[in-house]
Amino acid sequence: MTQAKLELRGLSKNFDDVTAVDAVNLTVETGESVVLLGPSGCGKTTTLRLVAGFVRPNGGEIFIDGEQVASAMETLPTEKRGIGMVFQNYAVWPHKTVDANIAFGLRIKGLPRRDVTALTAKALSLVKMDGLGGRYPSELSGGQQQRVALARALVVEPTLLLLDEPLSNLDASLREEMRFEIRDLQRRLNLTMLYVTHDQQEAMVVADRVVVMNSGRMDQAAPPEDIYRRPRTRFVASFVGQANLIEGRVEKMSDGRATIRTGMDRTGVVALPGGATPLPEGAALEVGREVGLIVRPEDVTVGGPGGDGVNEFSGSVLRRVFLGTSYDMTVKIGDVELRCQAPKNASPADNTVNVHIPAEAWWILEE
Amino acid sequence: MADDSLAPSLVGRLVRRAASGVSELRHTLRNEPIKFAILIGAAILLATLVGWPLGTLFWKGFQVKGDGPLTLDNYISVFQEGGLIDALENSLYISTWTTLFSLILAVPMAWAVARTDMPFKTLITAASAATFVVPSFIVVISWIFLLGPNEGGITLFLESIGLKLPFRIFSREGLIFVLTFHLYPLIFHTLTSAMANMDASYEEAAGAVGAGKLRTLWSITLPLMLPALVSGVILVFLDSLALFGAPRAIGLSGRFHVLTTKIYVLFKHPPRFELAAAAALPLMAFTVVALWLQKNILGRKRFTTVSGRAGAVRPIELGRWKWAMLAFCLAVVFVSLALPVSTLVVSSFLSSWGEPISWENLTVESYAIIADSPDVYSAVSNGLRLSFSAATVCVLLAVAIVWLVERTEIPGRGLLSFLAMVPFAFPSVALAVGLILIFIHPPFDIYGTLWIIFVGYVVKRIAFAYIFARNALKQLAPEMEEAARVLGAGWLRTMGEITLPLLKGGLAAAWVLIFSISLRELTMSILFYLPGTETMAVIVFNYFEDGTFEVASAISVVILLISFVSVYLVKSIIGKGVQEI
Ligand SMILES: Nc1ncnc2c1ncn2[C@@H]1O[C@H](COP(=O)(O)OP(=O)(O)OP(=O)(O)O)[C@@H](O)[C@H]1O
Ligand SMILES: [Mg+2]
Repeated sequence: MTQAKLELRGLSKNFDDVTAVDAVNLTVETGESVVLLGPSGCGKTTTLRLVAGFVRPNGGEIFIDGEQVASAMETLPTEKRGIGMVFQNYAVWPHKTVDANIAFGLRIKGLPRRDVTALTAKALSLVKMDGLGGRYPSELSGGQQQRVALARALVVEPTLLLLDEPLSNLDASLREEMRFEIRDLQRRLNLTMLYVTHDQQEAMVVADRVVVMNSGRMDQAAPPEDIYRRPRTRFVASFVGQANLIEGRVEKMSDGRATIRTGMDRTGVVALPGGATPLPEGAALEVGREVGLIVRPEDVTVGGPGGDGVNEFSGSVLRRVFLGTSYDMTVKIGDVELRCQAPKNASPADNTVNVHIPAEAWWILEE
Repeated sequence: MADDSLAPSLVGRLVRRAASGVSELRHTLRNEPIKFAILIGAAILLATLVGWPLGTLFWKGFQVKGDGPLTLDNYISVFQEGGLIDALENSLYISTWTTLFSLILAVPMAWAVARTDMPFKTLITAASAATFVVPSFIVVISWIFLLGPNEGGITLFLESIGLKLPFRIFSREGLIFVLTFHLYPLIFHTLTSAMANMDASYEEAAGAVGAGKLRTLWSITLPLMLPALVSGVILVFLDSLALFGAPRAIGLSGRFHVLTTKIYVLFKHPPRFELAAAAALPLMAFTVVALWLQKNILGRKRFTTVSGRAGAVRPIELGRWKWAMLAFCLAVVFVSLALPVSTLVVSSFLSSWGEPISWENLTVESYAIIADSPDVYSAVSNGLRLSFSAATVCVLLAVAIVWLVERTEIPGRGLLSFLAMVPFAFPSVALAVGLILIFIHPPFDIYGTLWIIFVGYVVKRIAFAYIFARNALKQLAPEMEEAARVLGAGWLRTMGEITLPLLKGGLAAAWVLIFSISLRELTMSILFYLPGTETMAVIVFNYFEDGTFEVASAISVVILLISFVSVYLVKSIIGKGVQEI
């Protein structure tokens, strides 16, 4: 299949007073898998429906393979966009058999019957549903229905595949299995894919790039690892994984390190990214500037001897929960309540603990 | 402060919505001309069929005399001249008492069925639903058989034991009696469904503080049921005002008129349609007031007592009283259904009306007459053709309108929805007057043909189809259609292959319902028919007015059979819930 490149330029959509999508710019390269991740109501579905052509934009443009398919003035009807879509509620037609569901798009294209049969069978086996073509959707499990929906979308060889929370109606274990399968298919067929979810782990598995959306805006678009390690905003940091958010002010800068005063009992030293991990754009630091810092709980060392003597704090334990593989602890250091994860054998029962936060564990937010 | 900022933002929002709707319209016209043509065509058709006649009716109703100033005096004098004041008085008298007596029957029955441990509840519910399947012009024939002044079965029986009926059948009181037993199910059904949904904890709480059963009923149950009660009352009042068949049959011999029968006379000999329009005006006014009440007063309070604990309601134990209650319910059901229907069947086999019932007097002669009669044959054929096409057109038109309302942002959707629903409440006679005012003039002079009856059926029944189609479409996720569009199917193909097949159940139910109701429709048919365009109900009525009661009964039995079979069909298509219609 030839795959297309998708571009959104300044795309906006309002419903009455609600701005569902707010000046979104995004490019999905040919063969790339991009996941829209964000909380409920942030505009993920609306973005997808704009691309599909079910919703017309108030502003901005959409290009598929360089051809403009939507603007505030003009939109190309859905059926002429050559896309495939998988819906959250599957939308498998209950009055048609599995085969008829999958064959529908091929019949619309006017393919000869022999080809329709062959391609349908091939699509069925692509989603591991061989032999179930004669069934009606009511005779299938949720997971199987979702596979049918996937096969139905893929069989017509769309140039772009859209998926809106395709796994959210499945149970946890099936969801886990299916996300790998979808990723696998995407890689194998080199699909250009725009995938919507509010589940961050799903996003991590499926995405080449994750786009975090926050009330209609794109907060950050980056590979999954960067989204986790190098979040741009407070929203991204707190939405993806757990994070301690600490406010501070830069006191001194030298040798690729910054000394920062926070609400903790003493200043901390933060390694400034450089070389392999360049500072995020616009995050030029200077002495006296207020900054937001994040520290992931698993990067904090609890108890034990400190390393180089820097960034060692002592605090009182507010809460301690045993999680099996580790302890989840909240330690109060100065004014800051620090969430940290302590190995199960390294957790003293005392009320006061030493905490070490390596200089590399801190991340300075851009805004 | 809040108001200052609210008003402009509201206006702005409306303007934005309209702009986006218009842009969708433009866009559809350019990219999907077939979809545009079908949807806009349907909208125009609906506006023509419903909006135009109703608008004309309101307009003409106020212009009773072409000459003379448009004053209240003028209006009143026209009313008096036509005998309309008396008719209005009679209508109000009859509807008021019918409503009161219906309450007396329906409230205890509904309570017993919904909240107590009385046995045979299903039977009572089914029987009172079936009551409604028998049209009023057929019920009334039975009652004249039974209560007629000289030969009536019950009259004779009472005379033989030295008693007298408390009222004459050919009087306003007689009509009230017939209508009460015909219409009480409307209150009964609104109440039972509301009570079944009521949270029993209210009643339990009352019981816990020591209130007796009657006291609880009076001070807790009834007030909570008030919204349902009021809407049932409105239904009975409006329906008794709008009925034509029974009032005509009784009023003819009883020498009195109600509004609907007056309109009938003004239609026929000689036709004075302007006066008919004036007579229709009070009917319209009551309907408008009722719709307003329904929407503004009841709309909000309606569901306050529904708590989702419907399954947990514990029936109230009546003890020995449950047999008394059952006797009451059975008596009502007997009088309203079993007695009239069996009388009708028996009299259809009588060789001559008024003879005692014995084997020698029983014959199938009446059925032979109707089987041989070319009039009956042509009426059946007319009825079938009219009902078939009306049901089909209603369903197709309704689907297009519903899709337009539910799936697009085109401006004017609210108005379309209103137009589709409003004939539901308007009396057939009023609609008929509105239609004739338009369809007697060129270019649409179709009066006297089957076409005008067809148009009347469509206008009156479009609301049924609309409600069924709307409920069905609301349950159909838009993604079902979108999935087809993404795969390359155009709008028409998506409708044909996905939407219509998935709405099949609801649409089939609407179709059967409209078909069967149209097949026995009396009011519009009798107002519009000219020789050659009779329908089955018209034939029944003409035989009845000629005094050929046995033949009228035989055709009625046939109509009843068709009605019950089609209700059974509707029920099996859509499961339960048909009573709410
Ligand atoms: N058809 C509509 N009419 C009015 N408002 C809408 C419509 N569709 C979406 N919205 C609003 O736009 C915003 C974004 O909705 P959207 O469905 O895109 O969110 P989402 O990110 O997909 O959320 P979820 O995770 O819950 O699916 C919400 O505030 C929603 O209420
Ligand atoms: Mg969504």
